[in-house]
Amino acid sequence: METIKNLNADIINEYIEKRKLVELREIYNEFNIVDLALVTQDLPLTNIIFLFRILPKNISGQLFSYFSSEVQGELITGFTDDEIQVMLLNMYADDMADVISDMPANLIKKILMSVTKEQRNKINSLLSYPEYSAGSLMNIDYVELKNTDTLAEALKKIKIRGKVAETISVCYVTDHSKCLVGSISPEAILFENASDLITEHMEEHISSCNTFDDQEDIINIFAKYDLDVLPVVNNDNCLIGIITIDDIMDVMEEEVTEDIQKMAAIRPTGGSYLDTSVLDMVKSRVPWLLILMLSATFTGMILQNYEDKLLIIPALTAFIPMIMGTSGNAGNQTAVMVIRSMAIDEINIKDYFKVFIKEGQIALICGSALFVVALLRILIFPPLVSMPVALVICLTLFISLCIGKLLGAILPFISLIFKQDPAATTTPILTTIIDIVSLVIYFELCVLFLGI
Amino acid sequence: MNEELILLNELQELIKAKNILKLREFFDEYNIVDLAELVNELETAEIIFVLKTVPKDITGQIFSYLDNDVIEKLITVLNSDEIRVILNSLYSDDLVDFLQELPGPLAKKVLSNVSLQQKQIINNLLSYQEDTAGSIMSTSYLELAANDTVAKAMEKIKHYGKKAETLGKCFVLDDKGLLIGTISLRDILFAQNDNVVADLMDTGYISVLTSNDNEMVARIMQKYDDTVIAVTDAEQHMLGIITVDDVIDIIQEEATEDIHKMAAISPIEHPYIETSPLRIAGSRLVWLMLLMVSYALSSIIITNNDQLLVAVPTLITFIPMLMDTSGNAGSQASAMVIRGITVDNLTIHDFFKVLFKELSIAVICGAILFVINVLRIVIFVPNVGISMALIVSISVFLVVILAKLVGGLLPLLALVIKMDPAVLASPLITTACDAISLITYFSLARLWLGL
Repeated sequence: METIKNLNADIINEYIEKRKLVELREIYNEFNIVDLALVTQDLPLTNIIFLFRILPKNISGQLFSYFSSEVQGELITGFTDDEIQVMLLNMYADDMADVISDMPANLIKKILMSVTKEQRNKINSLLSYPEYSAGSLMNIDYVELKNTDTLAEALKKIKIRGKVAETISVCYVTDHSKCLVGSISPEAILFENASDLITEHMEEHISSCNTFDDQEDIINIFAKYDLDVLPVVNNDNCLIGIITIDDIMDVMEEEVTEDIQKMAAIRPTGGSYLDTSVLDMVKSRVPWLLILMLSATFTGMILQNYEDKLLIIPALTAFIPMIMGTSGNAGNQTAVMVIRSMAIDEINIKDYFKVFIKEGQIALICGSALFVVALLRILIFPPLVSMPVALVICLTLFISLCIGKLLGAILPFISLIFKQDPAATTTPILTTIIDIVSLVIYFELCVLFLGI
Repeated sequence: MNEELILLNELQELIKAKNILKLREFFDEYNIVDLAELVNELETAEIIFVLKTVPKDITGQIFSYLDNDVIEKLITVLNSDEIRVILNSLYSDDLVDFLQELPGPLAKKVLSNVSLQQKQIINNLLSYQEDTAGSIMSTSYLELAANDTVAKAMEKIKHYGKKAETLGKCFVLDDKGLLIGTISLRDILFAQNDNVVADLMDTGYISVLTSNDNEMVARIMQKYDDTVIAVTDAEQHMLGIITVDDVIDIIQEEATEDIHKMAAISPIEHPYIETSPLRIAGSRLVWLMLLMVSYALSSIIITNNDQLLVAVPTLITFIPMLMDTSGNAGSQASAMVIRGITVDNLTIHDFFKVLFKELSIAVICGAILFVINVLRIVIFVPNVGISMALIVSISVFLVVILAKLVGGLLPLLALVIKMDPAVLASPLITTACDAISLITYFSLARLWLGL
């Protein structure tokens, strides 16, 4: 982290003004490419274009792929066709596809016009996979070896193809029909007998994924098997790409953000907080706010029904927020834990019974503890109520907390059965049901025990 | 599932028949993680037979993937020599992980069985604080000298490469053991034999300190798209490496923790399904009780207004709707901002940006809710009258704005007093929103109805 200290935009701007080419190239050679990209993208556009004309092509290609999509768009507009082509030649195909998918249509046209036919085909094939699928994440720059190769031949292929491949930490082996048959590490190729066949040293049972697999499943494969690279195959088991772990780390972050937003009754926004427009934010938040507000009509109706009873003992009203809120919190705790465990593949649909039993036990423990604390709190803080009323309140709390926890455990499984995303459906429905149930229990117990 | 059962049956048959040859083939064929899952299901005696039969390098790997309770059982049954053989085949960081999970007496038994050299490495790693880079780093890496030629480097790689956890990146040290650069196997492979490492190495590498927090290491690796990162002390002495597979687990764990904290759950260490109900109840009770007691605030507000409620009982029927709506609006804003703090580095300097953004969002959301709510009341509960509909709907409008501001800004303020926004802000926001909505509602009703 030392390095970042001496890197700043002023020095670079100054060097560009004074045309100190040697110093500039030195800076761009020495510092980390991500830091360089962050500093460079804030420079005036003319300076960035100047830099791209004097820097080695492989560096400018990498810099470009780390810029924000706005700066990328401005640059594409400012570049000549030749410059675009040279720069894209120095990017990996999956980064290229990423850049392009974020561009407005007229710029995509400009890019596709200026690249070679081969590049155009690569980009088109990557862009055609559905969003969030393995196909959209994969890279097609990899080293592919044949199962008839010897280790010596394999090494030769690596030396030729390896320079453009995104990784050589694992090489994949295919048969005559391009079917994936195994993988081999460069260590094995280097250190074993050069005349051996690849098949003698390759790993045969390797994990792979299908182009249409969902990215969430792929994250779990990476985490479970401690992988750095995962091969992507089509329905005929033909190797067509690889997914590297650096792309997976970014996807993981997005998936977690999405889940958190869904659980907070927000439709996923995609962009970062400060970059997302107010209108997009409103669109992502208003639907659930409206639905939940409308569903509160039910609680209103229940309260209206029992209005006369509330007037007999006015203090009863004062405890409505506590009962609804606490059982809501309790149910939410359970739902969130279960949903998260589902997302990281710790539990699946077959575990419903285990989870149900477990939450039942937890509910009894939490319910009993809260019963005692609630009783103390009612007796200490205002409003003052009689002992029977206090007991009815605590009993309501106990029962609706247990129901809340069990609902929180069951609803995610029900979402799974209906092939819905548990994160998106559970929490809002849960609150509504718990509100209704806890109110009804409260008033029925009041009628039963307090004779009102 | 079925496939797993078939494999398990096959494995048990092989063990029963003591078919050593087929057993070795079996363990050669399948993925180590899947195999470990199968082994977890076996009886202790069967596991011991397997561990003794399969090649040493597989034994170690399988061992590192076994469940803790299975390992504990094994350690108590195995004799010292057998334990030593297994431990020597583990990577140092896996060994430390596993020791940290063991109960004290068992950890001692294990430590008495490893070689002296290994014991030093372990003690070294164990002395770093939990959740720091030092505690998760591995000391199995490949180091090169700056003046090595490519030929010399290849020789070192061939000689030491099998012990290193990764060859993707080698680390270049000067004669004082200070890290000065990194070089990838690929660069070495493509270079001429007489090139010198110092000319080929990458000096723009990123390193972390042993005292750096795990989560920070994960963020750095994510930011720089690195698969291996060097761990050094403050003087840049190379001490170990962290590989991306460990970091993936950390990111998953941190995310789980953050999600739990936002739902008012104290973090639990082990997976949900493995944690006892009592422990889970404990992790949930703290906040559940605190929040319940804090509802005393809303009780007091309601009690103070009971004259008003007796005079206009209809007011009561809208209390839950108002409280829920403000709670939802507030937690939407806080979830966005808390996640923004973790992922996009929002800080207190963004206070006014967040303020204006949430204000604009809230005014639009509030206005939409206002209109819909007036319609809802007029259509579904027409008997309450238009002035009540307006009181309630204006309250909704105001409450949404206040809740969104509280939800958006409280996490940033938590940062100022150096608290974890996820822990402090999200549970507190519900309580705050409840109180705000009640006060707004009752004040407005008093003003409007002149009570």
